[in-house]
Amino acid sequence: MSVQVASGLSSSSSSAQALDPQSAAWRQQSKHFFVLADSGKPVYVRHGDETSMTGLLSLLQVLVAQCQRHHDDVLRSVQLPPPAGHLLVFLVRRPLILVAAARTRESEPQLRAQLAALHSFLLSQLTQAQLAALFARHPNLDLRPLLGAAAAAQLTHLCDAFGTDVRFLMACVESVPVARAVRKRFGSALLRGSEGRPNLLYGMLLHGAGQLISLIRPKSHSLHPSDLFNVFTLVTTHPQFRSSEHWIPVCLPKFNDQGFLFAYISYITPEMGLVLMSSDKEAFFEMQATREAVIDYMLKNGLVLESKALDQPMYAADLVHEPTCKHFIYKSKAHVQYVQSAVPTGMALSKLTAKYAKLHAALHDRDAPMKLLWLEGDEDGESTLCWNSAAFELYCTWDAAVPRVTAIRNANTIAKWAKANGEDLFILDSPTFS
Amino acid sequence: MSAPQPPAAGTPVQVKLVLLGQAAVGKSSLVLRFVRNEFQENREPTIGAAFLTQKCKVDDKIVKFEIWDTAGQERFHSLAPMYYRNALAAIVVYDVTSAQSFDKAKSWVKELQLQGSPNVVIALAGNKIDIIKSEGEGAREVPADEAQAYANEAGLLFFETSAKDGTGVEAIFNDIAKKIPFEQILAKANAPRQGVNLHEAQPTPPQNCAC
Repeated sequence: MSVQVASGLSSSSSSAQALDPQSAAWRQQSKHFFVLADSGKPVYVRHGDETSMTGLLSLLQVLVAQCQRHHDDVLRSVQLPPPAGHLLVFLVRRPLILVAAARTRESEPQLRAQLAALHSFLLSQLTQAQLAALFARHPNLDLRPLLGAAAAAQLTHLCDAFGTDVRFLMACVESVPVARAVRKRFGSALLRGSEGRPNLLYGMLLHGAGQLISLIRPKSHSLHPSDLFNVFTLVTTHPQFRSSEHWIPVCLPKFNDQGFLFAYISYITPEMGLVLMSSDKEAFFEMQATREAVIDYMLKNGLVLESKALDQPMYAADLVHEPTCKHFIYKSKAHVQYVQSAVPTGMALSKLTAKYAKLHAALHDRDAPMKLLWLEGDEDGESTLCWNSAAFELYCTWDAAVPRVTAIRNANTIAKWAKANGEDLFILDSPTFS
Repeated sequence: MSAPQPPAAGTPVQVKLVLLGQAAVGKSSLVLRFVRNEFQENREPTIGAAFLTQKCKVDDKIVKFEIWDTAGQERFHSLAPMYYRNALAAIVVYDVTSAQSFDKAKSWVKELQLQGSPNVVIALAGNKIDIIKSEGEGAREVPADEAQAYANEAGLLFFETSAKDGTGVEAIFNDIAKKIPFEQILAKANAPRQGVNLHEAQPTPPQNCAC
């Protein structure tokens, strides 16, 4: 149940500002994230120095606690009145409380999904079992030293990625377009590597900034997108993984939030990463041998060359044969994956993501969901469209000079192309082993 | 059956080495200087552990260091035994401008001496000595003679190093390699070939790792 308590909080907008000792620059940030413990102790904040925000964090903690105590309900959101105008969204996941405060026009569900992604990443670093035990023993624990600088840096990276990476809007995995037969061979490389490795649980080949080429898994275990996101966040936000092999503990909360798996991370080419996961912390050398077998297969089957082809960006204009469509995202509902065209130079990812977030919010509005939305001529001189069909979601951007009829024709072309090429665009079936 | 042969000339002897120490003292930077002769300012903290290898020639032998560069953060402490178990050598690193990091180094030495391999060669490295060179002795929190005295007492090799300008980095790995009891290792490595294994099975890193 959603509790809107905005009316009772009109005075808190001024006090929330007064509580913050920081500069105007802090207040001008369009979006804040706060993670705190049940006790009100800071765990992580996106902007500013958390030690100087005890007042603000206590206020957030009290809001959650009062709502629980007096209404036996979970506080979900608070809309601050102007001029601050922030939308506060809460996610209570004991022993942690996560809060977003945004005036980005992102919707409540969108912000809540971001909080869920932050929470999931936190659990990937410290399992729910560890958190529960730590706070049961020390309710006033300061979690920050334990979390450490590396995880805090990755949380910051994640907070920023919400504004620049459409993956979190799409809520599914981005696939690399590759001919079906070639993708099958990448899968075969992983399967070949997995032969005789009893401790291998998941194997995946990633491309660039976190697109999936192929994944192998045991028959009995699938992999939840949010767990995959954690792996992507971990792998792609840490530059050191590109230069040497690593062996790291990681919890995949949807798989099991009580314990760690171990991830072997190694880049095969500058753009292609191999991640092998095991539940055995001693399995490093087994995973290293798996890598050797995967590389051996790839070399013998020309896959290293094929992987170079994956680095070629796909431009929207090449598909629609009219140099007008600047960018698109096509999400296949059946495959729970999306593909997107390369972002043309000069186009800011943050602006693009914000535009699609606006469309996405309208498409998924709880009260009045839309099927088709055309926004003509925004302040950047661009028009955008989103289209929600039974089979797909499509998001496109054009120059504002492009007439609507042309745009609609483009969109149809892309939808037809995606339907006709689905086998090459998406991972149809992950190879499994038993 | 022929008598055990010493390894053919040119066959590297594998030495598992682990780096331990508080976060941000420069463990990864020391390894990077040793393995690639590189230095990065403001490197990101290590997550979990990185695995790197580097060969070096000591006297007439080629030593292949298999290096576990562990994360210094407290959260990863419980994983440390996995990395120092069976390690023939360890470098425990502190930051000469941080007395706290020296205390942490001492506790790592203690843990290694209690739980590590019986003959593990331990080197103590006081890193970031370049800061003393550029900012003067005022920046120092750990006097060299204090660290040297502690190292003598605990039976450690001791070096002051700078991953940034390279001071002491080659020396520390070289001196470790010289101190490794190779005869023992070779005897163990050859033991199974004699048909009678007098030693308890010693898990050695697989020979097929091709990096």
